[in-house]
Amino acid sequence: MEDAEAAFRELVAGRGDALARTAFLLTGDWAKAEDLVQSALATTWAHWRSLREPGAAEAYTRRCMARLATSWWRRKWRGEVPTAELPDLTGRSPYDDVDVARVVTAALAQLSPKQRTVVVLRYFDDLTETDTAAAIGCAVGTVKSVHAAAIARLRALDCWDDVLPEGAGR
Amino acid sequence: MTDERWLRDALRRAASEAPARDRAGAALALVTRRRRQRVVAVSCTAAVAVVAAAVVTGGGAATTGLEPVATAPATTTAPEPTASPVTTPSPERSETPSPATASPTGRPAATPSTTTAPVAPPERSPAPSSPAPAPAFDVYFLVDATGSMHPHDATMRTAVTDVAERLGEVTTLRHGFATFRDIVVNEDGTQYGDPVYERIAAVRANGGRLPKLDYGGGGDDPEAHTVGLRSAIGRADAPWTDGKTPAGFGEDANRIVVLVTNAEVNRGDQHPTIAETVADLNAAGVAVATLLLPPVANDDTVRSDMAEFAEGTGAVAARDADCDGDGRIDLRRGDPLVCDVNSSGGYAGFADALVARFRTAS
Repeated sequence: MEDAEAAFRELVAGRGDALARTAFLLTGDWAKAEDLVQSALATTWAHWRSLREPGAAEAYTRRCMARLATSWWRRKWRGEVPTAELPDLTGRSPYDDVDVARVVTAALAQLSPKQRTVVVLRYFDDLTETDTAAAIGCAVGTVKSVHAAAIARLRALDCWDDVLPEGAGR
Repeated sequence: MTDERWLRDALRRAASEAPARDRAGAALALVTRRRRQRVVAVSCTAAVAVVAAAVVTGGGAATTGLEPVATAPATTTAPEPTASPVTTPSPERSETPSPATASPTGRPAATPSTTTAPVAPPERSPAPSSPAPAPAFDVYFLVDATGSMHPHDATMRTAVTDVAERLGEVTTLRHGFATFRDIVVNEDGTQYGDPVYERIAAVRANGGRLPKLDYGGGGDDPEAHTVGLRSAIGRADAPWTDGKTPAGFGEDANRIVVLVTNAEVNRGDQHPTIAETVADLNAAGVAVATLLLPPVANDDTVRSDMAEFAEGTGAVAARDADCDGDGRIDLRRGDPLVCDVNSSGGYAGFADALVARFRTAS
């Protein structure tokens, strides 16, 4: 049991930050992100014995997060305040990444829960369509259609020019 | 398809650094808590079975109030049934009380009205001359969970707990919780609920404590009190609600909503007016008293709005009251039951003021 706990702690020490960053993009809020990671890790620990290697445990945790995020979205307050008018940013500042976070979370908030999850898993966690489908628990075809709609929606937003490097096309 | 490099770049920069935290420790602690809850749930189920068996054999005693779940088995050792009104079984809960017929004891129902004219406080019937069981107090804590309430969480929580515990001591209490926030209108006219109303727990015996709340949203100062109140009485026409999660007040109980807020009422087009809401509340036989946290802005308007709910639904002090137990009178007889909450603890006086106003038999 002590070995198992040590392995679990090692996994979290190594991958906890990455999981938290994914959770932040899924929830739009650091406090909620930590809640999400905590819940997913707790579930992972409860199934630890059936997860034989750290890689499988991380994938399992990510899958828990994706599914929990979607269900939390449905039944709880979502944290961020989506607005039709996204934050207006002019010039760059030392707080660039903070501003980028505001813009990105506001943009992601325009998506449905499933769209948001697909975008985060595909473009932040670099999962394939097949792995994304497995994480969410749907068909690959569904991921493709959800992904297409999400990208179209995000492209249509006019907030990106302020946060993307000059010349970065979309 | 492109590789959407712009999107990858934006996502990475948005979530570039996570706060340091002992996530493994937190997760292990959560697992322990979940296991403990399961054990308590099993214990509780066993206790219910024992109580049920005791009732069948004529030896059981019901309890009310806010006893911790873990102490439930102790109630099975109560040797004698009692005739005290406190142990009178509560009436069956009605999820969707009919506004036309639902009226708590002593507060006659008014005809449902759609008028916007102010509604006079309903008169109360005199107390019955012969001793009768006191009607249950069905109390629904409707808590403003918008962002400005977050700093007051601990104070608010203590006040709500004080009030519920005191009511549990002196009445047959059934209680529940809900939150409300606001309806936000975007510049293009589209709207979304924040959400505007969420029932946490319907009114029931041993309703427990207020769980952790997710504060946030609300945007501007005013909030959706009227939508929240109408939702609490199952009005499906309240915007952004479906009327399917009302408080669940009992037919014969004293029905009270305790608003817990620090904001004025939203007067936007999509919000019912206070007068309309008061009319609906009176039709459903529900009174509204307020625990008022320090307002962020427009203090006079906030107080006036809360007073309008209270006076309109007959929630006025039956005698002088010291809400916060500091030895000073906060409400004079006839004042609307709106008490300031600005310190931690000691709000049993607010509960006593509710009891003094609404208890019709003892």
